[in-house]
Amino acid sequence: MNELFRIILSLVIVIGFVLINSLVLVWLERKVSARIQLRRGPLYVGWFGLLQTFADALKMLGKELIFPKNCDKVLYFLAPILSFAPVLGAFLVIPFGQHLVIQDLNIGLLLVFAFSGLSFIGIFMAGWASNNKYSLLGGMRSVAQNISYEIPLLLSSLNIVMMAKSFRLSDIVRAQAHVPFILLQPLAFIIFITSALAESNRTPFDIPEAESELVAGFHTEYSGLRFGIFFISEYTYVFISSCVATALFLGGSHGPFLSGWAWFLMKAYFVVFVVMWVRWTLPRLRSDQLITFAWKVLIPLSLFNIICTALALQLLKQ
Amino acid sequence: MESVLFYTFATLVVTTALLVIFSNHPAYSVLYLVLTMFGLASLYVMLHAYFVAAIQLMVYAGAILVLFLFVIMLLNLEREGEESFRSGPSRWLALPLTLVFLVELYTVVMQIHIKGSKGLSVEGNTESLGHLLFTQHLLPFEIISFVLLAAILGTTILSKRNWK
Repeated sequence: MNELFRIILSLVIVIGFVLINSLVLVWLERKVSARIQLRRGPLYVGWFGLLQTFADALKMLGKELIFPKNCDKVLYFLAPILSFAPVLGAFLVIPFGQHLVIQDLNIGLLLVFAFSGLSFIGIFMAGWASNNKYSLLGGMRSVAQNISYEIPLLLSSLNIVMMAKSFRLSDIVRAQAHVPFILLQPLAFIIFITSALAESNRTPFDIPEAESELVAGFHTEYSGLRFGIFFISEYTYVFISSCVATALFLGGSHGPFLSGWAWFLMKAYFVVFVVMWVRWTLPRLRSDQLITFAWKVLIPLSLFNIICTALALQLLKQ
Repeated sequence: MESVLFYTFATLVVTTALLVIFSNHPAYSVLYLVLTMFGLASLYVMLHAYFVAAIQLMVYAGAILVLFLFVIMLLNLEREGEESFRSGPSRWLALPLTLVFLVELYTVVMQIHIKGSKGLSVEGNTESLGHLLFTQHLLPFEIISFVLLAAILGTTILSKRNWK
């Protein structure tokens, strides 16, 4: 009972953290994009415009919630919630510090993938329930993309599981006490980051919501807070993928001088920064190029990488 | 506590499974089926089979059912699926076939005795499962992978049939 209470309490904390975190990430995104485009970004509200996104969030709360004509009311209502809720489950197993993990399960990594795999049911429901051709196209693209990129994502993290001999994320972090796995598995890291970008619908893989083709894709018909939830869930997915990348490849909470959680957050936010950097530097791919890239490049590469890792592990053992 | 949770999830599984059959729209059926899978995964968790639960969520709810959704919603663009869903001569075959299947299921379930393997520790779940798969059940495991390979080859050939 005590255990249950602890988990519920930590999930409440996680929800609070997620909200604040995504507001900060939106601010960061605006700043990074402005720097890259030689602008200055938000400046006037708060210190360095830090409160700009809070003001925008307040404005969004005041907007009218619209049910489009002919939409499927139940699914339309549930879709944003269903796209956001699974990601909270993934926070259960992320080891933010040496002992700073809500529930250190022995299938931690699998749990993250299981929950993040559920999210695009919400996205697809949104696209379908809106009863709008752009939304439906966005939803269908999202499904095709997510199913394709989930495979290299899993295969590339399998290398790490083979090396750490555990699905438990804290064991994986512990195995990197001396050498972070990014030095031993650079190819796996690149594949992982690429697929994670695609899984969280970020440019250059943002075809489900490509503005120039699909208005806003699956969330075209959403307004106000419901749109906001989609927005928050996208940023939370970016953050959770960065956390997983940190735990798998960048040595998690290991680092000199500072305490574990500080290192973990620094590394995670650095990965988030790289993700934003990529978004504002690279153009968007075409839908068919995207799927081809997953099946003909990433999956063979990650299979090859797994074979190499297995061989190397066997040879080193003897 | 445990029995309360069990009955909650069991009712969830049974009711959503019934709703899969009785809901009017195939898209709703699939979404209820997602809930069924979720309930099943929870039951696995209660059996301490965490690995199986995670795989259940990942493979069924995360991948296979989403493919179902994909196909159904593509069909539904032309409003085809709904009419043929419950009409036609196949409807009259449903009851006898279901009865045959139920009897079959009953006899099979009554014949096997599922032994809980008490030797397995809760923590070493994944490891012991892998060990069993590669030693005791190696042949069935390999046969399944061959079946899967055949399925992959089959779909590739079917989808490329019109290419010449």
